[in-house]
Formats: sequence, C-alpha cells, structure tokens
Amino acid sequence: MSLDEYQNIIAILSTSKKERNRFLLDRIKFLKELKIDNKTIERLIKLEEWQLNEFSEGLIRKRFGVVKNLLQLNELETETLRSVFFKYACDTPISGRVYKHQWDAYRFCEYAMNQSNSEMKKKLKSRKAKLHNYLASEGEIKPKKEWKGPKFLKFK
Amino acid sequence: MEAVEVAVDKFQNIATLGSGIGYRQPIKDELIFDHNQIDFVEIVGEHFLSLSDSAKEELSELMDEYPVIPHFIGLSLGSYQGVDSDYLEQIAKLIDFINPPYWSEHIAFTECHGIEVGHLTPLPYTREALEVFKKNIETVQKTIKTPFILENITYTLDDPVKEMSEPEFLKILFEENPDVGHLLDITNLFVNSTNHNFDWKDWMNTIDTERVIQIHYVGAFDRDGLLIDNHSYPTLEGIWDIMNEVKKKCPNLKGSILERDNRFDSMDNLRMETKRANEILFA
Repeated sequence: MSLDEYQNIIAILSTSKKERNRFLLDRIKFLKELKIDNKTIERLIKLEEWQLNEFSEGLIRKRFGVVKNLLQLNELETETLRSVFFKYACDTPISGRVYKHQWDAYRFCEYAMNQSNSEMKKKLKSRKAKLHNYLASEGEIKPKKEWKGPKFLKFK
Repeated sequence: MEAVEVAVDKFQNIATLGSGIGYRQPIKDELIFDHNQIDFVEIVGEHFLSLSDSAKEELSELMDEYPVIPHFIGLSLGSYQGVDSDYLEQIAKLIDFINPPYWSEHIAFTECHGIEVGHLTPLPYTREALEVFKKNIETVQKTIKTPFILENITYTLDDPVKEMSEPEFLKILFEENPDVGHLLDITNLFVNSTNHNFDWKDWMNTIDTERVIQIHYVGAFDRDGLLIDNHSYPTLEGIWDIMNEVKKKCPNLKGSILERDNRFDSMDNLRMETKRANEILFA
C-alpha cells in the first residue's frame, strides 16, 4: 500500500460528498479508475461506510462550530443557518491554511446571503464586512492556498 | 531503555507545570484576573500564528500571568509529502516569541497535496507511516530546537487492515523518535476505547508511559451510543479513572490541561476540575 495514495483518497472522500457517494455506490469501479496499488484498494474497500460518513459529517460539524463563533451567531441564527451550512460545506472543503476558518466563514456568508431573506442577508453582509476587515488587517487579501476542487493524484 | 533515557533527559530539566487549562477567548478575562486553581495555560498556536500586533499584545498579556505552552493542529506531521515549510517557519517564529519549555502537535495528518481535511485525520498503523513520521519529525527538529510532544488523537475512521494496533504503533513511534515526548489525551483514549470496544488499561500497558510529559482531559458527548469528543462537557468519571492510572504509570508528567472549547457557562466548575486534576496528579 502507498500512504500517499491512501491519504489522497481519504482526504477527498472525507471532504466531498459527491465523490464519497460515487465511492460508496461502487467501490471497486471507483478505485480501479484511479489505477492505484492493489493493497491500497484492499484497504479502502474494507472501510466501514458509517465510519466514513460519521467522520465526514463530524468535519462539517466542527467547521460549523468555529464558523458560528466567528460570525457570532445567536441561537436562532445558528438553527436557521445550520442546514444551509451543511449544504454549503458538503462539497466545499475548508482551505486557506492559517486563516482557513475565517475564509470558511467568509465564503459561507457569500453562499448564505444568496439563500436568505433580506433581514438575514443584511446581518450576514455586516459580518462578512467585519471578517473582511479582520483578514485585511492580517494582510490576507486572498487565501494563501485556495482549494480548486477534488483532484486525485496520478498514481501510475 | 536507551531511548527512554534520551527522552527523559531532554525533558528532565523542565519544572513541573501543574494543572492548567486551554486558553480560549471567552474565558480570557477570568484567567487574567483570577489565577485560582490554574497553574499554566495552553494556547492553540494557530490562533496566534500571524504574530500580528494584536496577537503579540494578547500573548504578552497572557505570558505576564502564566507559563504558556503552544499547541498546534495544522502542521500535518503524518503527511506523506512532508511538512509545509512556510507553515513550519511560522510555527518556529511563534515558538521563538513565546520561548516555552516545550510545544505540541498531533499524531495525524490534516493536509494532503493541497487538500485540507480540516481536522485531525488518523493514519493507517503501518511501517510506512512510522517512516513518514520519523522523516517529518527530523525536518521539524532541524528548524525548531525546543522539545516537542505528540498527542494521540480520537478517531472515528478506523484502519480496516491493521499491521499493528494503535498502542503498538505509538510505542514504536516514540522508540524511533527518542527525544519526542507523548502528550497523552486521556479523553481521546476513553472515547476510542468506548467507540471501538477495547480496554484502555491494555492500551496503557502497551505504550511506554515513561514518555508521557503532559495530558489532556475534558468530557465527551454521547450521541446515540457513539462518544463525540467535542470539548464541551464536564469530564466523565471514566476519564478521571484513567487519570488515576496516569498518576501511577507516568513518572515524568509535567502538566495537565483541561481542554474545553465550548459551553463556558461556569468558570467555577472548570476550576473545580483543574483542582481535582491537581489533587490526583500533583498533590
């Protein structure tokens, strides 16, 4: 087994619901297409589905926990925006290294503003502006490392 | 035996820190103005990594009051492709600013070829993973001379094809990296032993407990029979039981940290927990 292959595939399966569903639908087909080592295939085929889903959802729950604090959401706002965040996050991994959570909150504001009523839109706009000011004060005009979609390594 | 001596030697001149707490913004004022039952604090290094003027000011205020240990999450020491040199440089600058007796990271990977998983992800317990750790630890030690300790993580995703168990992996990892200490997270151990159905005493009997320099503890949340390590609840009795075992088995322990991230409803309750830890471990 190659650790490089394993880590690449686990990272993608954990952060992209679309790829995870494709994998869970037909693991062998999914893995054969990647042309990876047979031992890695053996290992990944045996992954427990509930563990993969729980880990992936846990990542989103943790992200939302940080984002709600950064956006200073009250209880009502938290409940209103929870499902919106899950839709936003399930195929959009976190990125931006040191400021990844701030960028996550910033991108979520942009996403949620398009799906919210005018009152919520106004609140999110103001919090997005605060984040922008904070990031600018830290010299972060754009993320240091931007995520560009799930990308499998070329193994062979 | 020789490996243990090197590790102990590296940490033996460090004074016992005692019973501390993870520093978080919502409890900042309470910590600054009242030291009751708190001997030292641990910061999440990433929160200060920019070393901006405001970060330096906040850190200096904290350092005036307590010994400060930086704890990092994102270096990704288990990454096959190696550690991010820019990130490592930033960590080195922060450690230089704080000048702590030691610092800490995790036995995990968080990043892979530009994909940030967003949290601590377990590695398969293989010989190859051990070699990756050794190489990455050597890279880190070339840049940062301050001793460091590594934490065992909680995991939902279990390696289905085990070359070795988690405690066997940890035992070899610390054997092969003799000047790295173990940050034993007893909540992670309790959560894993419950969720993956193993005996934490067997786990403790397999690792080299002389390498434990610091511990973490906090409660966990029971969601339909699955324990979730969300750092938000009071420490469970089963975790205090492990702490009693730590007292018996870890002669080189320097400090304990209550690692609460949320639900800071009563600072008095948190102080009662740090007091109980102090009585168990350092009295």
